[in-house]
Amino acid sequence: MILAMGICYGGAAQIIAGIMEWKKGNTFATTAFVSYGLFWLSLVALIVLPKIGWGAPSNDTAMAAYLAMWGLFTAVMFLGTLRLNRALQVVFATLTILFFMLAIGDFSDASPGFRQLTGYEGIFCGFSAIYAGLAQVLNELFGKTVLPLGPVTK
Amino acid sequence: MTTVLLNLHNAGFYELNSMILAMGICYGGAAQIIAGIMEWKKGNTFATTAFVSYGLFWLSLVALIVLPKIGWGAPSNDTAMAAYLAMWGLFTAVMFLGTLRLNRLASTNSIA
Repeated sequence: MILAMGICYGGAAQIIAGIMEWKKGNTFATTAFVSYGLFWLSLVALIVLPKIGWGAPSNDTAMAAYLAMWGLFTAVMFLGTLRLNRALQVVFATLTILFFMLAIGDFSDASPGFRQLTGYEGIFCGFSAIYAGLAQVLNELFGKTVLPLGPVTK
Repeated sequence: MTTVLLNLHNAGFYELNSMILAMGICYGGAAQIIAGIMEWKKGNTFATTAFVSYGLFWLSLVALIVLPKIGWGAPSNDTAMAAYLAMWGLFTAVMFLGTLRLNRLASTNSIA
């Protein structure tokens, strides 16, 4: 189920959204959607490739490096959201924390309790992203602020 | 159409067969994604979100059924399936709020 959602909604849907944003000239949204879409596909690939004999499984150090790189990318993208809105700031801040918590978890062979805490942090991050995405759809449709995003005054 | 055909299975008329998977990939999946890209070109954000999302929902549903069979991953247990369906229920509930601004037959799945 997770792999299927990773390929389809996390992967393909975000890449499609990213190409749509590119056509509209939104560089930040293009970079974010295409990058996280391909992140999801890379995550599924690193899980599946060893199973179908294409490569060796990734050890903890490799996974920590992978997650830390995505954490670094997300941290810089978070700086971009400082010019956008509060909702996206929450999404990118909690996603940065999530990537580094996952990296630390793999690197230090963390306790089950720490991994569980990481999971709850990730659940919060995911729901915040659902809110930010659907709020934009509803606000545009109703032509007013139905779900507040907290835009930053430029 | 794919929705009716899948729920004929849920109602017990036939097993989960290749006909459902094929309709899920092609009409529920690919056709709705194409429709979503068409709506995006017209600037309809709600319809774009709905068509692309439910198109990829269908592809993810087919994938979660097929992936364990081809050895790409473990089958999903009942808790995983309940979480998956509940997330799509939540998404759809919010999208329903959007239809309050549209019309009474705005269910995007009514055709696909």
